[in-house]
Amino acid sequence: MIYETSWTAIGVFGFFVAVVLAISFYLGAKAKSASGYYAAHGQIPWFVNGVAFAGDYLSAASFLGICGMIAFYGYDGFLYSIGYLAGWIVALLVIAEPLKRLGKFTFADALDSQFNSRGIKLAAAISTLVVSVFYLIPQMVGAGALVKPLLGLSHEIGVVTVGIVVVLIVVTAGMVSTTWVQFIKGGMLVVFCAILTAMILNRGLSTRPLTSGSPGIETPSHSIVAPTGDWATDRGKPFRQIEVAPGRIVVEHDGGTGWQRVQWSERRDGLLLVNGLPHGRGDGQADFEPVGRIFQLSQES
Amino acid sequence: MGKPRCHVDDNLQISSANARSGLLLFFVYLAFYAGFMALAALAPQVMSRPVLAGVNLAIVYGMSLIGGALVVAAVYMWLCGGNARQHGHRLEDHR
Repeated sequence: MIYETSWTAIGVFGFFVAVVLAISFYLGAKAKSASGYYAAHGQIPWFVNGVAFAGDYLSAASFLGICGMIAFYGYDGFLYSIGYLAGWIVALLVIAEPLKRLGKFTFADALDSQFNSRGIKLAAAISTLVVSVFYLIPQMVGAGALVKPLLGLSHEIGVVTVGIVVVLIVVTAGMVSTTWVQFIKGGMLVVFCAILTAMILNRGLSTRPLTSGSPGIETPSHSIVAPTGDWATDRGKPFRQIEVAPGRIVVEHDGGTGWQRVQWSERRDGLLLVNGLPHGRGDGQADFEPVGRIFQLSQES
Repeated sequence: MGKPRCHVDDNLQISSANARSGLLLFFVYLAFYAGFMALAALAPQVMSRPVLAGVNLAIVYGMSLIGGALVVAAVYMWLCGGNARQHGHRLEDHR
């Protein structure tokens, strides 16, 4: 797709960045100690900290990534959202209190103060860097991918701009500005998600499955294929074959609620056909959809 | 920004009591989570059984884990409040 540079969007983006950076520099001037930098002087109001935490957990990864994974991989994607919460419980119940009691701000410092070992410090530093790098790369790529359709700038400019802004915010005032930025982000996400949800629900919900008679299904000129071979011997079963395009056959099943498209495969002349097309992921090929419903599993001989 | 609400959690006794409460709740949640993983790994057919309004056990259990994390956090907060009150009184006596 070709995106045009939108000056209005860039203006809004620039305005938000300027406001956040101004807050960051203002708060940064106040951070004079390590506890000010790492723990925001312990003076963040509980409500702000709570919303900031929510903002942390509604990151691009959870917000877009998990939605997308549930959409494309169904239940497998849902498992990731459970893992997120389980990890949070470990941080809250096992890490937070002892770390606070030791008066340290990073996990490496806490380990060092307990064991005073250079090896442990090195291992902690390396693991922190490795995790950060693998966490940051997808975040930056995601930022670049978002900047492209939203602002119309190139991917590279998106990655570099977002990288510079984030580094500036964190370096200038540490946890104070990070928390306030997350608070703003979390608040905006919650508010706009609520609006979006209301708008989507306003369109109404339907639980009726799509049938071949519904609009949007590619059977404008379908014709029912006369059963031959194995299909003829299964005549009593509620399946029918429909030719949707020359040579492309799909199968529908009537489970008592009308005809519904089902997934099927067939081996013809040694070639595996899936949903009427050769099995594969290229053009003119088809693969089983990971999300759907299965009526029957049978072993292929 | 307001000033810090309380300093009682700087108290070592409260802190250790909180850490103990945290560990206890962690093991409770761990058992709940391990049950989910064990079912998914060893008895996936049980997971597919509908248990609540036609929704299968996998989704109900998964959603309970998500909701359970929030409940555990609330219980932890309540326990920490109790610890602070309990040791807070002693703190007052020494002053």
